[in-house]
Amino acid sequence: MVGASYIPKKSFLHHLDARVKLAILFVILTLALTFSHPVYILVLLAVVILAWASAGLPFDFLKTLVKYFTGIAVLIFAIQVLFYPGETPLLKISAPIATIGFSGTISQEGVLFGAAMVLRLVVIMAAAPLLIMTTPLSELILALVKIRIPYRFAFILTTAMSLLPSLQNRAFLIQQAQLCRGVGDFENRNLLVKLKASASLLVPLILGSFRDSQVLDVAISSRAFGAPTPRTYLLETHLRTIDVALLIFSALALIAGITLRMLNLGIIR
Amino acid sequence: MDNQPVIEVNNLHHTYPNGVQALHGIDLRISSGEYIAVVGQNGSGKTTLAKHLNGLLKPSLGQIKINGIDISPMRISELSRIVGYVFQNPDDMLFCNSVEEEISFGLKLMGFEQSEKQERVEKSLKRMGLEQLRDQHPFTLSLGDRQRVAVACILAITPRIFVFDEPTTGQDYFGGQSIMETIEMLHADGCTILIITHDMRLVAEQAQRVIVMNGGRIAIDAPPGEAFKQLDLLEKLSLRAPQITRLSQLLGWQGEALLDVPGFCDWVEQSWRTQDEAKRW
Repeated sequence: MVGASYIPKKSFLHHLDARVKLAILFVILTLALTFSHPVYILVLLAVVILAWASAGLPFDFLKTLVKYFTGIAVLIFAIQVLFYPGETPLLKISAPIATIGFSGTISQEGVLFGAAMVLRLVVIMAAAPLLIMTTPLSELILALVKIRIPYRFAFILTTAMSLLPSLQNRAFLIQQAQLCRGVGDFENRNLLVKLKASASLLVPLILGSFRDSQVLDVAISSRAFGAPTPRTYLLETHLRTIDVALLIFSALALIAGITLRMLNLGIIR
Repeated sequence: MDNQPVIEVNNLHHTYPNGVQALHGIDLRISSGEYIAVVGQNGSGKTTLAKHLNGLLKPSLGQIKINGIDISPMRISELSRIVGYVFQNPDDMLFCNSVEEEISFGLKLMGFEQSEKQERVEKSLKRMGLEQLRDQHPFTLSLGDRQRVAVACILAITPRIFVFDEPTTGQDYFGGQSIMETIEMLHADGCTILIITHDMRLVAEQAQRVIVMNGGRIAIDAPPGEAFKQLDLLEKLSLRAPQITRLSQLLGWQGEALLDVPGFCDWVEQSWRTQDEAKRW
């Protein structure tokens, strides 16, 4: 299972104001894109992993991410290594692939840059679920509204985020129902049958989602979604001292990161 | 009925990956041809128990034998020929363009010959009264009819044990009635039936044995007449006996619980008569 959804726990991260978590996420993502040296990005990754551990989130989830990502990561790494125009050669190859743009040299910079690209993506993928898994949807909507995102968009955003886990649950249930009548046990079948059998999952899944969204439409309409009067919220959030402190800290981290970058640090030279 | 149980559950424990312990040591023997209702609050472990019977869930601890054979090494596709599991929502199952295709699709994947497949489809259609609807698109049918198509798909595999997960939930009176008749029919054919339900009237009128689950354990395992006698215990488990049962007990009926209106009428009639006679004396 890959979809991230809220996991109720009592941790430091869970108690933080959602706006602060949004800010921290923003800083982490910006810094991940600012630096292109793997060591700097590794530091960011360490921060993210520490946060996972401190929030008591399941590392199984990260493992699954890594599992799905390995193939793409290898590809990205290989492309950077082969085509990065570096100056410190590690290996010279006079292979026929030289004709398709490969310079014939694998450089130290290329290897570092490839590693940085992969790490960068890992940081991004591991950081985003931190927010979703430690924040109830209602708080997340509120946080988005508080930073002046129109409620309608905040709602669309959070609904989309909660869609994946609910789709996964439904898919699991459908698979079980199909297994019970002999459909869905695809081993040793030819491709055509396999294709047809995949409809056994997709058709109920898609139709079910349509039905759900129709129900959601009626449900929110009957609760005056989009009414022209300004809405109020059941939940109210207040920034505590620790929230403010962390906001300032993440702002400083962002400034520090950008300064380093302007001093030509954290990149591959 | 022979004495060898068709289903034998020994010390079954189940813990979900998220750490929730859903079953705490279930022991259960079910004989061939029994009609069993499993009741209990949401989260009491009913569905978790039922899903173990055809391998949809694997025991964390304990063992399940069906027809005397340990099922842990068996695949769901093998088990589904012995234990038919009908899910609550037929829409999780239907995807073909016609009712007939829907029923034959699973059979095809299970590797039945064309002639045998056709025979099974025909039988199943007839059994569920779907012959008129065979060319209809399943999604144009009413919920009750879709539910019957879902049952027909399982029926075509001809398992001898059926598990129904809340078959009447969301159905109107006639829809529910028609499904109950189907289940009764399967039972009359000698199939072993296990239904999960919240409908106490249905339990009282149809089941031969009631299993009340509570917190992952079996709280009561008795015939309905005995189970519904224990009003205090039922109340503790947030369950209520059927109205007619409660009424008869309020009026002073003692002994095995009265389960249906005819039984209740007989009793009232009888007591009136004896009262009349007493007066006459």
